[in-house]
Amino acid sequence: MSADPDRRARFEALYERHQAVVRSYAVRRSAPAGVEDVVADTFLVVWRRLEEVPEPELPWLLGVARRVLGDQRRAATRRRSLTERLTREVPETRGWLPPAGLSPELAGALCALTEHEREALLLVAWDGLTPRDAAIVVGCSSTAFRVRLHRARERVVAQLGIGSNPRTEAHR
Amino acid sequence: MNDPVIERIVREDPARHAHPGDQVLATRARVFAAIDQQQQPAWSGRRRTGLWLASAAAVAAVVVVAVVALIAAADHPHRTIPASHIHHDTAPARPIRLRSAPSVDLGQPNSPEALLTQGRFLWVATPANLVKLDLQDGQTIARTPIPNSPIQIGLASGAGSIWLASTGSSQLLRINPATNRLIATIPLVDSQRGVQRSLGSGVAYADGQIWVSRVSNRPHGDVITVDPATNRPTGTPIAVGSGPDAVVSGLGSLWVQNTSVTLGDGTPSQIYPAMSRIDPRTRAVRSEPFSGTPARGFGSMWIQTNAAENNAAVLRVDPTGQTLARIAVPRVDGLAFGDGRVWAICDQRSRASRTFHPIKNTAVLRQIDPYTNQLIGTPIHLEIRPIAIAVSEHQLWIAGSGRLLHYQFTAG
Repeated sequence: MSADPDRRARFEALYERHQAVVRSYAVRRSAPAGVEDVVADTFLVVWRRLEEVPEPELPWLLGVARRVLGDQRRAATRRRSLTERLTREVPETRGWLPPAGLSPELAGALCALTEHEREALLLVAWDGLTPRDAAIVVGCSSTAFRVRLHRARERVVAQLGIGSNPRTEAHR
Repeated sequence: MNDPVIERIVREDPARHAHPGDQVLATRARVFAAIDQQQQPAWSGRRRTGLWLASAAAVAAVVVVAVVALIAAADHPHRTIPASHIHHDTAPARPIRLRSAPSVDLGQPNSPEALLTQGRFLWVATPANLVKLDLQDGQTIARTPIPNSPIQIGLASGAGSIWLASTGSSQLLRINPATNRLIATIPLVDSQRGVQRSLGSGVAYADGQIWVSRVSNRPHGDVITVDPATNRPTGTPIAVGSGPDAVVSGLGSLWVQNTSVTLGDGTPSQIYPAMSRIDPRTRAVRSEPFSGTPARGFGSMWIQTNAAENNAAVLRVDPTGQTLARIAVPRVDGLAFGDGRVWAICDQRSRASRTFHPIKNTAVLRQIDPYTNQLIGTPIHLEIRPIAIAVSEHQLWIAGSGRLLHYQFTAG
């Protein structure tokens, strides 16, 4: 059926290996209704760019999912802007929407971070990436990522009043 | 982890409480249907837009059908759903029209036995040669002589090579598609202590290895793996059912067709030839509650049951082994996938029920709409007895009766 069975087999193997991780990534950052769209759109990009997938695969794959999420958010913002223009109702706040079920304390602490800092912390904590792999996802140097992670961590410590521990993931 | 901040955040990971359930399968079906759909002809923009809209609606219908089927199957002991229980939320697609192109006669003793498309080439296995044709016009590009005059042949592409296995032989053949030369004959049979083995015609590429079926005179056959880097078998052969034949890679598994065989004492195998499914990573085997010849397309496996018989049918199976649909396709004997359709070749009718007395010009080509799981259009009569079909790049090839029939898809 496929013009290139090797290509198809490689994609299938990659899908089986990583679809659960990509879904979890989307669950942590998208409204429930958008999760499956993120998974499907991510792997359709992967299919088109299969020859570009590097080793290790996962950081690159999550980088694609991150851009897909960004596109999804921009589209939602455009729709919301149109609605706002039509209804002349401007919302008071825009920014990160914490996932449902997050405790108010943690949600507040994460909301207080910059987008870069929050993503650095969540890639390490929720997605379990090493700082080096997480840096690939967000497209910055490993050093820059460690700085973001360190700042994010310090600010969450201050917000939540957790005892600081010098052995952070940033040292891995 | 030793970091209270990270540990605190991990405790509230939203993904820990997520239960995607059926959504996983639905999304999988959606992704694979979409990549299969990308083989649509490059027609005019207006028409293509219409097709994409139709495709989107159809993909949505597949998701609905899959979810409904999964829910319906939950309480069924055999995990099977009668076709009548599947709801079709969309009208069947219009049949694709085919234009007949000049057929190809490879000459004796080159009766085509198996087909494989690879890029812009069509590979045709015959008892004497592996013939490489131009997929678009059927011009012969190369002939690679193959030993032992095999008759029932399997072909696979993988690891930069073409692989040929044939029933009854002892060697797997490896051909370099760039030079069109036989570059390895790999012995895979080690009959000993009264156990006689030979290859089936099943060969597939998955997870970096070549998987080949082996028949024996014992109740169980097996599947043996070959490392393309060394051309040597790897690991312990994996026991499957009796008389393993076709091996197909799909949905993260190897699907092995088992058949009834005659054992060393002359009795038939008592093992029901249920399909074996192998996990390529763990090499674990499980038996599926259906039997037949597997094929992969549109995010599903399609199993031909009672192939070539009047009561033949195609089962559509999802990645978990759930049967999503049963499509009656009398005498179906081969499937291919392309241009948004499942293409089925159906054997000739017979004058007698017990013995095969073929009636000429009664073999047909059918098309199945994968979004409604229905046969669509009128059958196209074939003037040969078809044994293999291949579809790629908007070209459809059928092998049989010493010839290759060629059809091209038209936009109308």
